Amino acid sequence: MTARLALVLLAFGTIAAGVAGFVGFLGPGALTEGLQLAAVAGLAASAAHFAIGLPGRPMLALSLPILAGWSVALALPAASPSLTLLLAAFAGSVVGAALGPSAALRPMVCAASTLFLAVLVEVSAAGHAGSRLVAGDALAGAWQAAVALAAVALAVAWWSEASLGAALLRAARQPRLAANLGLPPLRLLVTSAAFGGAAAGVAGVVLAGAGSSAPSPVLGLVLAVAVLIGGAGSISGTLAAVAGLWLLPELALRALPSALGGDPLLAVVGTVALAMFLLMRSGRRWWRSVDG
Amino acid sequence: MAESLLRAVDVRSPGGVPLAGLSLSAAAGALTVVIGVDGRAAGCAVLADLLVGRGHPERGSIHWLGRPITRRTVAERVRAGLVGTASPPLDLPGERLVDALVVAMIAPGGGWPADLLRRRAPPALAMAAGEVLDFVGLSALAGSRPRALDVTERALLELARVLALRPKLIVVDRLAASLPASAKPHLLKLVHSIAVGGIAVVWLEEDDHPADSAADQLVLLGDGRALAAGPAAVVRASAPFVAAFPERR
Repeated sequence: MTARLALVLLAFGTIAAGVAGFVGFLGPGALTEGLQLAAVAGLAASAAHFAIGLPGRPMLALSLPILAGWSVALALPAASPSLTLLLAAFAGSVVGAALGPSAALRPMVCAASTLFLAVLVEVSAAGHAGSRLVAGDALAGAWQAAVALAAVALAVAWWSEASLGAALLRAARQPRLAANLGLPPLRLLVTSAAFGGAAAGVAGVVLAGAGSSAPSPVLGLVLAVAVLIGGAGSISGTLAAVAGLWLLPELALRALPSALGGDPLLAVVGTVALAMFLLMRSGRRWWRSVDG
Repeated sequence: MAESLLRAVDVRSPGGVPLAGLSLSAAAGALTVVIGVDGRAAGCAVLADLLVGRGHPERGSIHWLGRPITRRTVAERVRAGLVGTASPPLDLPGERLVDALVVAMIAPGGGWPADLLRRRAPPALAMAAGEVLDFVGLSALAGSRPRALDVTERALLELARVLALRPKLIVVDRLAASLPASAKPHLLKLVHSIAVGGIAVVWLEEDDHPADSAADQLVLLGDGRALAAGPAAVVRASAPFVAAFPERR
């Protein structure tokens, strides 16, 4: 367990250091922005861990609690950062709890319905789609709090990997076992999704502070894929996959927005990151099999 | 005092034996044994499903603690204290037997935020899990993996699991069927002890089984009907019982 915590902290530290080095040459403002995005990656990984990884269900609407946090930041530009973060965590947890029951559906139904919901909300909120935080200077300057919150969220996620709740969620995946244990699956799923929603809500605020436009449903898909290739229930794997699939392309886009063109660059960086991560994972499995 | 569990239930079972007009009662501290004649043709499996909530009757009703539970699910009945062993025994999660029992103990009321942050079982629960393992005779294996157990140990763990749920009524569903003959007396002693301890127990087994020797109430089930029912001594002396098990005379 200590080794896993060390892995999580190492992954987060590496990401933060990598971000600092990557964008450092662009100036102190870029460094702050990079660390904020690293914090978003940590929070989003924690959110995906609780809402998708632990329940083991493809809930594809994590962009919604992120959007809720982002909207709180947009609606309260003059509020103090701590109040904004608190309200965003609450809004995110409410949205997460509302999404939780979807995990009780069959996997395909869960995936389709949550993706549909995310797209529907995105279309309904199209008026805000291009909005950026205008009066969020206080939030933009609160990157230290964002990094600290991300570290806390990751520590909680790591702690939950071996919790009694995780064991109950594993049991809940087997209908016969769950029924015979008298498990209340709905309560479990709602609780876990509310945890994830709170982290996602905070991620939305940090995203807004970093000057991002409203999160799209694609972000929810990316997080689900990150859980899939990182390993359901493994926060360290999820974090590494989020870093490879979302953070690195995002940083690349910001560092070189027009030199190579946005979309092709995103595709190239994302593909390379995914390939590297898959190679790392297969290498680790091979190493384990040799180790016996 | 015996409490009515099933009242004249009819079950049309496409995959099993239909039950017709079957009634059954159970009492706290008493062992009710249902012996099925002619193996699977007796209807024990359908009856067990009916009691624990895996199946529902077309006619008649099921009651527990004075309330109708006819349409209640398995999980709802577990939370109401009516727990059945699974046949075959369940594969419990957890690295160690004691962990698996702790998970079983918190499961019916679990799922609150504190559960996601709690890494270790509260000492009282861990101690209770240890006591249950000790009771069924698995304390020496408390640190073993549940999947590493043999057939007899798995059956005992299944009994431990239902005890961990703090039941008021246990339905023992053909738990002895897969056990070697040498393990059956221990199981018989355990189930009898559970009943003597104040829990209502309904034990279903197919064919000639020594469970009836410890029974307070005995039901002889054949072709989905109660061929004989009542105090164990009376049923053992009845014509259907003697006809079914002539070697017992």
